[in-house]
Amino acid sequence: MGNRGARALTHHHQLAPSVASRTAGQRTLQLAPALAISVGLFAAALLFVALASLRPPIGITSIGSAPSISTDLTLNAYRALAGRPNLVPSILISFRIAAVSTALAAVFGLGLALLLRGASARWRTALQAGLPVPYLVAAIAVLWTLSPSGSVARLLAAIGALDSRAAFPVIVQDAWGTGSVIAYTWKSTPFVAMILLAALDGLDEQLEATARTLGVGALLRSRLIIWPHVRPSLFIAAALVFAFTFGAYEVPLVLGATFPPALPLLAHRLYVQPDIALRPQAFALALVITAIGLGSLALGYRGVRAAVDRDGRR
Amino acid sequence: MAPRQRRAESHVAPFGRSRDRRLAIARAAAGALLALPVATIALGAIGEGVRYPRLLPESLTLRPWLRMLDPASGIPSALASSALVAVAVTIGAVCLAVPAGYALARLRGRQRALLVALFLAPAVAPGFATAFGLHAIWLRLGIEGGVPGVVIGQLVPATPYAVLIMASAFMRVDPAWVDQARSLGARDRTVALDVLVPLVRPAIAVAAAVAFVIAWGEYVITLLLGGGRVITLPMHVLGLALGGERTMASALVLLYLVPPLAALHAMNVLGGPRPGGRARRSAAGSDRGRRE
Repeated sequence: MGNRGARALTHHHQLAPSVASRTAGQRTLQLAPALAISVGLFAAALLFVALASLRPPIGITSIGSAPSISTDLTLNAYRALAGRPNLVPSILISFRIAAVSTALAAVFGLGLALLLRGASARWRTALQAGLPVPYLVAAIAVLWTLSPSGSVARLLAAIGALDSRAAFPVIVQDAWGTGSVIAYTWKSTPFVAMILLAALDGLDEQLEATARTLGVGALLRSRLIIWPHVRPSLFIAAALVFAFTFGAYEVPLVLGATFPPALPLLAHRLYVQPDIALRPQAFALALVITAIGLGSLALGYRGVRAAVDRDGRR
Repeated sequence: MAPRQRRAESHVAPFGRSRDRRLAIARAAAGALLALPVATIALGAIGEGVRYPRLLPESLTLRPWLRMLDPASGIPSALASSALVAVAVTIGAVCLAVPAGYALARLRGRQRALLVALFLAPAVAPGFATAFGLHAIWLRLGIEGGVPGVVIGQLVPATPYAVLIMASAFMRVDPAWVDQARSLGARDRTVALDVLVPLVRPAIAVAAAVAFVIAWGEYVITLLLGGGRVITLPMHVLGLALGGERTMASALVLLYLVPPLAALHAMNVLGGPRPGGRARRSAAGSDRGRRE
């Protein structure tokens, strides 16, 4: 260590910096490239989106030119957005899809984790199989499986349980968002289960064994030992699922109804309109969706903090 | 991730026979949830005329597979673009994540929590919102509509995942290894390449696989930043699937699924516990001897 401090002396023309400050500088250097590419570019992109949402749409240069602060900033885009007749239905469907998918993935994921706890490694490998499936493929698979002419309907028709295509319930491309909920739940449940299994692996087996010896029943054991242990991970997993599904684009694109469009679809439609005057609204909506997604993640984090504090751990 | 936990399996077996029954039910449910969509896609890919009320295709065909090979379909070049972008994103994300993960793992609680939160934001935020802003910036920089712009744009959400995976791996590396190597006279470079990187090699495999899977599945960022000039596989998949070209779309979905599943398999092979890994860990002394 002293050797490194001496080497640092040759780099700095001041007195030898302490080893601590040198390692701090080193860490900054190690972190800087990754931070610049991900967090830096993300912040720059959001800043641009925010400024562009506040600028009046003037002429065709509004996209290629730098965001100039000197032009008047206006909340017109937000007002116009709020006045869109399809905004409220879009908000409702986006919230419904994200909330219901998150709740189902949390419940199924918890059940799956408890079921597979202590099961063989092959089960865990099988659990991963859905993770690399792109969302687009999951959506298309749901479409082809559950549409009125999909494989389930054809299977039912083959065994004589379905008289006509019209008798099959509309669960894809429906106005309620059922298809999207199914695709997101299918994708997110193994993800939640994996996070919870990792948490359950860290649970001290002695606790449960002792409780069992003391005659504590299975239900009470899961309430007193397992639940407090997995709760923080469940919060985080649910917050991640909600934040992601709320802003995801591909699944409602394939499985959503034309009306109402999920919020990300609405934002994209406004963005690609030939009428460039609509673009500030697209930016405003993108910013709002991002804020809601990141806000829900922050709430999940706070929930974890609160839960951890309450249990007096760490 | 999961492969690391393998060692912890089968400690808990308190349920006995009812557990076996429940696992059998789980197996059946999992089988149905996986088999049904897979069979749906596979049948569509090998047969023509999959339409209501026929359960099975009217005739078998190789047409979509032959057409995929035809350069005029645009699919070979889309496959090449997808591979180029995904491999570049994977390499970039891992190179950025190894040093960043190391630094993150050596930070203290509050600072680390703040940085984790910062890294999570671009990973979880909607890709289209990031792409809206980057698109305008790329236009000014003149890199809109090319592979480099798409790769950098995809690194924004992919890098954080790799960083967080590497950080959790480095947190499990005993700093005593670094101190021992230094006291034996190793320079920073040697410590990094000959001590630290081998210790976290399984995590590098996981980070690479995750980055690859994210990049391979990315649609909206490529769509916006590629400006219609960088055409990747998901664009063909979507166009064919929504355009009603069922046979062709099914075959393409199968092709599209091969690389991410292969990445997962490679991750499980390379990322699993290695022979000698356990001995190394115990040789480094207790995990509690963390100094920094």
